[in-house]
Amino acid sequence: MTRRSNLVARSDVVARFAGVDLFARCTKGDLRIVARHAERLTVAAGTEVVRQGDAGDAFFLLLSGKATVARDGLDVAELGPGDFFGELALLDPAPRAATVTVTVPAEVAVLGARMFKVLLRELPALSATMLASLARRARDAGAVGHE
Amino acid sequence: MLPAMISWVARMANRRGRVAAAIVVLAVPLFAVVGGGVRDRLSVGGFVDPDAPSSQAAAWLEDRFGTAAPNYVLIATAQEGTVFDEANERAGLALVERVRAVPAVLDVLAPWTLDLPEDARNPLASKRGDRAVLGIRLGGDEDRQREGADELAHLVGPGAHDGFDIVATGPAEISREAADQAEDDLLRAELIAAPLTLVGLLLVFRGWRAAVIPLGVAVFAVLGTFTALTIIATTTTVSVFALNLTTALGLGLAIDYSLLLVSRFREERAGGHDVDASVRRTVQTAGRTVLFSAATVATSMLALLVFPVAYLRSFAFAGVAVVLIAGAAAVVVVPMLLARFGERIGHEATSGHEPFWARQARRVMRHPWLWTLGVAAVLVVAGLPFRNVDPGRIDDRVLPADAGAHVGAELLRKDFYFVDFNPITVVAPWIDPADTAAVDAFVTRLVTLPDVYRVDAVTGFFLSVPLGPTSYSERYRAGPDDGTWFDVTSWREPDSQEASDLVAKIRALDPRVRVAGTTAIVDDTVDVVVSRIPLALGIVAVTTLVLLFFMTGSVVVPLKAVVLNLLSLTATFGALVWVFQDGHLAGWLDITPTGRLDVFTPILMFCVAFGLSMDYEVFLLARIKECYDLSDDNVASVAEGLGRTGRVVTAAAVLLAVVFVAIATSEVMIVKMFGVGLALAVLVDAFLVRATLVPALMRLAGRANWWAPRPLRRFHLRWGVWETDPVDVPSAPAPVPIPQEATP
Repeated sequence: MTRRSNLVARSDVVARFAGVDLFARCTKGDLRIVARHAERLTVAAGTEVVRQGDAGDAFFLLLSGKATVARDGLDVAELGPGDFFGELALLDPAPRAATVTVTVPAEVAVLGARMFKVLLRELPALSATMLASLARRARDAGAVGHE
Repeated sequence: MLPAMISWVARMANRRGRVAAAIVVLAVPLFAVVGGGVRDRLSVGGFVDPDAPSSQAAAWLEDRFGTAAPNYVLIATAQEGTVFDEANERAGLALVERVRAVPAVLDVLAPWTLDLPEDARNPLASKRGDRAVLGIRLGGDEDRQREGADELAHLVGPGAHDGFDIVATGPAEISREAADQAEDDLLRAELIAAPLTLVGLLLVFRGWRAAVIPLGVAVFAVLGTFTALTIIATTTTVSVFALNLTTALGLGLAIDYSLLLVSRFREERAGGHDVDASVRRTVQTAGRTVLFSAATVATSMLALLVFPVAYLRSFAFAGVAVVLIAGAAAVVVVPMLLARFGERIGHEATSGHEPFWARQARRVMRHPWLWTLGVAAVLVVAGLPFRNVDPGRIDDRVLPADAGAHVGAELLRKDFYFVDFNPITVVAPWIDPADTAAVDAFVTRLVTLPDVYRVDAVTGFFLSVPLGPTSYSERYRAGPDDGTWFDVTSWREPDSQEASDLVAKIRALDPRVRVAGTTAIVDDTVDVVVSRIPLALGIVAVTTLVLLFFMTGSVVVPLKAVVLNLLSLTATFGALVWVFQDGHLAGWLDITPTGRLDVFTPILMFCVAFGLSMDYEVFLLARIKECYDLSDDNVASVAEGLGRTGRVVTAAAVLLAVVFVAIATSEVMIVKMFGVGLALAVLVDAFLVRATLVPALMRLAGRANWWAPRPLRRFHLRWGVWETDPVDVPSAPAPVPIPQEATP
């Protein structure tokens, strides 16, 4: 895993975020705020970004690459660019429900627990999309999402 | 910039301390070499505004007439008989000649050289005639005068000389003795504070490795500041008294910052993170708070620059330098030491119980009104004596009672007509000294002013009537275009309100008149300093509000912080007046109150104490805000914030108070005031304000604490200062770097 300064090419990050469904309703100003606080990581294939049973301390958004979601050793979903994970353990504190492993070298945007909550409170467009997404997942799976 | 810098420090820290060692190995000896001789480059003066009318009048006199009011006084007591006995007079005249031979001496007045009428009282002889005063004018700036005072002390006093016992006093001698005394006291304060602080650090940090960290930071900060002051002193006047602040703040802030960082590191370790991750998390949270706090404290120190007096400006230079260097040293060096020795520094013991300060916060928050009103009332009452503050300037009584300059001044007060030695110097550049009618007409206007009993002029000296020329009347004459000047002697003490009123009346006689002398200098200094106080307060308040907004994103919390900080200073300011002006506890503290309060000390203390107060406020608010952002629960956040930082703040405050009390053992009254006042300020702040008023008011304001208009909230999100909460992502089994093109 490599950390990349979120100072470098912030305008590039804003452009990347603009194409992500999660930020579809956000204004450019909203995206600049998200870009300021999101840390971007490049993650090597094979990295377990979150591990089932660990405490949740961050929210992740896959900007490129691929990852698999496994619960109790079984793959339950595959994630691609624009997919996000880690929010459930922050919204309702509980151990991670699944392990997410990068399968194709990925770029990931990460928000720590604190900034995730602050941004949800301060950016209604983000929280509305997040809520809609959670509702869709609940409807599709009949249960909690792929964590 | 800041986030990138913080990340860099966090990464560097984990290189097992090699960089730390390199920085220390290179910088400390360099600082020691450059800054080691700082004392010789600093000034013992800087107490007056060089642009004040009285300073310009004195400069005019020196420049055109080669004299001015005496600023160095020798009191010669005849071992036998009176000073006018033949042998004593001969010895006295020889003494005058030796004094005149000193290059810095511009002018000497002595009882043996006054050619007075037979029936006139000799103002330079004591009431009993056994003592003589030599009124000496040392030329040049305050440092040149100091050199002259050193030469005179070496040549003629104090001690026995040719049938006289001699003591020295006067402004130049008082400055000289105060600076020497302050230097000795500083060494003693350091010798007292160092072992006590070390013991305190061992208790607080629970282990010698952690305990030596703040001492290392302190040495780095103090030597770094000495170096900065050495460089600054090449371009402007820097007061030697700034060194006292450097040592106290350097040690105090090093303790504050190190304690905050080490505590956070131990907390992170207790949370299950390894040393490297803990160091990184510490830098990104507490490290950021330290840098932010240092910026806030430095800003309040910067306000001292608005005062046109080198003494106060020197404290701004020293304060800003020591705060920034201590902050930078703490954030760079401490993490590197933690990375190197972190395994042995341990982690916070988790007892399972809520910390004492969290329970205290909850206790307060159960009855917020009671605590708010009760503690605020105590602080307001403690501050009431300050309503009667009477600002003035120091005189000989700043020194201990047995100091030479103090003893000499007491002799002047008791055995002489003291007022004779503090004339009001009146310069009249437009009056031609050859025009005796014009001179006498002006003398008549002067001598008829209230409280004037004597005027000396080029045409002679006057009581209620002219008494004719004396041998020194010619000193009031210079070149044809230089005008003339007068010495106006009042019945009133130079620091009395009546003397100030007289100066004002003299200035009102003619717009061209220039007035110097002790009373005018003190009045001008007090006036200019007091007139700039609103500007200084405004700068401190506005910058604090802005900086705290950047940290909290709220407009309510910063306002409360400023009000609380002011409230925390009330007790200190009340105590200053009650003790040092009114003289309560004077015997116990071994001081000689003058009935006035040195105008500089409260200003200085305000800036230092406000800065330290804000330092603690930043520690506390940063933690409360972090908890609140995560939990959205005001009461729990306040309890956790105080629980996490209460120990740090109180321990730091107690250790800092020890340093200030050590400084208060000084025998120089202004240094003692500084030490006593600041010790009280930090203790009141840590124990009364942070532990009671802050949680009570946070509880009362509830969610409104964090209110700001929406545009400001968004501005804060975009540009504010945030403590990031680092994310620990497990590494890949075999990390493979991704080519940059793969991540457009």
